[in-house]
Amino acid sequence: MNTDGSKKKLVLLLFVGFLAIIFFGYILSVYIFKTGAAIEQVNVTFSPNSLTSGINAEKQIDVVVQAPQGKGISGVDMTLLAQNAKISNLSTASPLGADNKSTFTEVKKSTAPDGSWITESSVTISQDTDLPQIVRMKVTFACTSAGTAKIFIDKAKLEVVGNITNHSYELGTTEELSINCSGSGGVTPAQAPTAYAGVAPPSATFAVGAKSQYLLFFAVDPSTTVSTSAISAVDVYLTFDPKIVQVSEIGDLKDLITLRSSLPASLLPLENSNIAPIIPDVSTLPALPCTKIDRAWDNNTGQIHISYACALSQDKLPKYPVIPLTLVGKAQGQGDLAFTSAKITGNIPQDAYNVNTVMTAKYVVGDLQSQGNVKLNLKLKFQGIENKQPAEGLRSMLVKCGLGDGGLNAPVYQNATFTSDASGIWSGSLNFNVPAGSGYKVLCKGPKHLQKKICDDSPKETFPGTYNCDRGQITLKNGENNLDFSGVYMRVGDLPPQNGIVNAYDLTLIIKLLDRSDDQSVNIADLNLDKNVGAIDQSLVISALSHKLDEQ
Amino acid sequence: MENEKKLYTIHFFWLAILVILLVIFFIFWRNAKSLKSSQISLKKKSESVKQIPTLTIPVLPGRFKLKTADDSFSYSVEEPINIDLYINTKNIPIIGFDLVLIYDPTRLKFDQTKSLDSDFSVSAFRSADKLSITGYQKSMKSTGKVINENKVLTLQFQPLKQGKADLKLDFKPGKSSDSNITSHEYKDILGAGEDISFNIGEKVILSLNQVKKTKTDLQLSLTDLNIPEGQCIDCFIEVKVEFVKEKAKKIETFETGGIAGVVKLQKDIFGNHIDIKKITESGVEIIVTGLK
Repeated sequence: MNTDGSKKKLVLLLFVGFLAIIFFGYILSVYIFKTGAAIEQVNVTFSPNSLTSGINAEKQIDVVVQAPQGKGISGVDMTLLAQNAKISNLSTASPLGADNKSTFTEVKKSTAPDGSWITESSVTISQDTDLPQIVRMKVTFACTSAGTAKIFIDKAKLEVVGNITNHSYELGTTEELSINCSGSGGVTPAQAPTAYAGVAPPSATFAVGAKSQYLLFFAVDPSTTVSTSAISAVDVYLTFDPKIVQVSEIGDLKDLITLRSSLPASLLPLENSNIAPIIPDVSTLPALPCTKIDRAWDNNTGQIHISYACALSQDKLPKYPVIPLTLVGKAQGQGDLAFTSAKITGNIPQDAYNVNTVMTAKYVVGDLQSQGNVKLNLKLKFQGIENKQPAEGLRSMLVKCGLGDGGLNAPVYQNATFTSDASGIWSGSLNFNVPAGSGYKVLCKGPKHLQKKICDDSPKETFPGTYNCDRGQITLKNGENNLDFSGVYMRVGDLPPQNGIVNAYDLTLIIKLLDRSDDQSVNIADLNLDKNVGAIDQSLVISALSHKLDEQ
Repeated sequence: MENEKKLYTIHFFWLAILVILLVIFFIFWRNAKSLKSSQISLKKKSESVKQIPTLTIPVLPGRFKLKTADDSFSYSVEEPINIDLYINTKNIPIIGFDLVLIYDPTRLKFDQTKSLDSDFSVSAFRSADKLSITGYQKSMKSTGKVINENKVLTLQFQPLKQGKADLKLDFKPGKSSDSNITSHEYKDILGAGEDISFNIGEKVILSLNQVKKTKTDLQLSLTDLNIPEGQCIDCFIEVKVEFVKEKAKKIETFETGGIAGVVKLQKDIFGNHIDIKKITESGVEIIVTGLK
């Protein structure tokens, strides 16, 4: 009996031992002996990872947390430690990249009274697919005494969670921030730091189907920055006319500084007021090791978005970053490759540089100087300039006119200078390579105006601005075509830079320039051409709100 | 010999227990670690979302928020819907703004807009697929006005047909022809906006034990209505409704009230979204929206 009982106990013990071995084996295989390939890691870097600062001068830089490609970050719990420096703040995590709208919420924050450490935890409720691959947190600190200071991550406390199997990422490469607390770097220039953004060359002519290369360039203004100031991120939006050109390629971010010594000064656009007619060949330059956040273009809407961030040490940050961009001619016409927004950041105490967009690039597709087979001699009348000759110096303006319908797939545009007579009627001529025939419409847009569509060769309106039409009914013959459109008004409202709509931009611009009579203000917002931006101009834009859009 | 065996057995037994305890401890330790990670995920749901901080690629500070004027998310076809626009300029003075909305014109008809800020005029423009509202300061010469989370205008829509209706903000940072907030420095400071969605359904008014059928063939009857005394602080208003669709039957409880302010007045039942919109002593008003 006794022996039977002992045997049963032994069998039970063996069974339990067997289960325990299976458990241990499983745990060892999952957590201890897992392969490197299965580990999903985040890299944490400081941008920049070294800098010079004055004692007690507050600085702010980025801590960038980057998950593997295709993975997202949903929460970060980070503690930073300081040596010889005092940390005053660590911001909530936020996605790097203008297109990621994930919002992180702070769930925990604690700071040492002496600034020797700081903890910040934040999470986002975004869907898995919307999680950002890269997030950044801004750390604000100051040197406490002369010498070398350090800010580094408490690796034991770092936790980054996201849409991966184990929720929590392993820590990959990490670096520390080294600060030379010498006092010289703390000197802040008297003016706000400024950076430039531009496109070169200022003008290029090429045929339909041919390519033309442009260079987007960025540079810091030495007069408003210190010698070590450089660029760590750029985020720009540009527009082009998709009817005339299309983007075929946008290259990598490169640093022109390496070519600088071998280039004549005239090719460094910001150092010479005479912008170079040709651009340097940057094809041999290596791409900078920066993160491409977005490099997208839409050849239907004419929008470009380029966004790069460089998590590099201060001495490696680019001072003269450039991005090559190639346009292809689509149809005869001309237009501007222009910035609608430009943001530039760098190793400066401020959040971003004040950006000065110094140049837009003109493209001329086709030979616009050669005679077309159809010549339009137009007479136009513009809202606000009624029955009088404008003030001297304002009696000519560039007007864009196009021909549409009449069997054309899309309207073709030309620009021409129109001049005013004593009664405020404007005359100008344009040449078009289009077949003679009927059913044409004419589209005209002045420099501060909405586009007007005219379908009749002698249009009339009983009340100003009320003429409108559907399909073109104008017959054009080869040679001279005299069309008098002075019976209808070209409506004002779309002030430069024009975007095809009258909105708060235009109203804000006119309020900002109100009561000014300098040339620049007059060229932008003087609608009745009396050499002053006044209440009449403002009321004209307000009335244009009811028409709002370019006619098509 | 037997004593030695006993001793071995006891040692074996305790060793096995120790092994099992170690395994259990290890498993708990791993779980506790992953729990810490998921705690962050859980916390996030209860915390209110803060504003997006500034970025290296700076997110512009201005915010648009659309909110129904009565905080409701369900409306019947016959009642107008008022939507308020809240603007937060984060202490930056502004001169004007553009609100461009994309919506389905077969589901909603725009009636009118009205400025709720006496310093701003508003002008509405409808194109085929968009509604553009431009707001601008009335004064001739302006240095701008700071608006911090205030409602600046109201929009009135007329619902046209049942279903889910969306008002989406047409907005892309840096684009000037969509929604904007223009600062006194002629810069667009709009960085983010919140769209709005709501249901357009059929209004059903039920008194106790009354039975009604909707156009989506859903039969409803109010089986119980419990409204506590006025002085009760931690009490719930409780509504029980019986739903019958074809041969299926379900009684659902809706409740609101209590110290924590529980609001459980919406449910999806038999392919319909049910929203108890009004509760009175005499009955309830329900908006039933077919989800298909």
